[in-house]
Amino acid sequence: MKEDQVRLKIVKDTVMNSILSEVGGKLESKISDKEKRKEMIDLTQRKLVSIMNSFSKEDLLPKGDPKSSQDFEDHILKVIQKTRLRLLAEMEKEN
Amino acid sequence: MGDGKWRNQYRRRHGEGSDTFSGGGSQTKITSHVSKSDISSFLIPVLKEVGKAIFPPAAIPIEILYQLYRHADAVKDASSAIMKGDYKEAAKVMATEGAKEVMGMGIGTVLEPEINKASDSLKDIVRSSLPADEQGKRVAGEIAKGTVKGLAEATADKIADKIVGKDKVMNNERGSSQTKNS
Repeated sequence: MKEDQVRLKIVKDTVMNSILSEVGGKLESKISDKEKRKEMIDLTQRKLVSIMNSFSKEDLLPKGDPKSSQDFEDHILKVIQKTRLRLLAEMEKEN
Repeated sequence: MGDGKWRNQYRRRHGEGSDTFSGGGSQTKITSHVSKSDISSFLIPVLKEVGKAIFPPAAIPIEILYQLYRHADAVKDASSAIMKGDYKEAAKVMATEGAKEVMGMGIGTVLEPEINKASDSLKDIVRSSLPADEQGKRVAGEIAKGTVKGLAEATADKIADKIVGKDKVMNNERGSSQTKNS
């Protein structure tokens, strides 16, 4: 269903942007080397893309229609947490 | 919208190349500038911190994301119309669905950049034509029904006309030739 594609994109973009914004912001205060920072963000992005692509529709979309923006926010937060943990595990695996 | 920086990077990188991880010691270069020790010193601690205060996501208010999600079918229809160059239909869908904020600000978040460009004019028109945010939905409902006389200027057709008119002016480079009422 095309509507689902739009919904998936909204959820994926929201989750990715949330994590990347946070990571980008925090790295900015910790690393002064611009190139290094950029490459770390690129690395995070690549990992995120592959994690997001590995999620199924059921992993990403809420069950049923969220009844309010609070419901929707709660769902997004869950996906963010799940994604963040996967990302962390992926990064730790590289160590 | 403030989140363009990371979004653009994502778009640029999406699907490009593959991960460049390689095995080796703790100083192995992951990319030309990033080593494994960088990951353990910076990325991992950052990722551990991130979960604590991650919301609100990006720069888009959750209410807008929620409305976009709810109106996914309208977003799809509006974007299809824009892709076909049918601004009138797009404006109609956008105005009918109401959420001025959703359509004005949020639509760009789910459209590709080239559509974004085209939708900029739509966003401007929708923003300037519809009243205050909290009334957006109600008003758009009324607009859709065509029942509010006082809002005639904001009807979907008028919005579409404005867009078409704007484009015509831009194409002809002639400026406004509207007759003024005296």
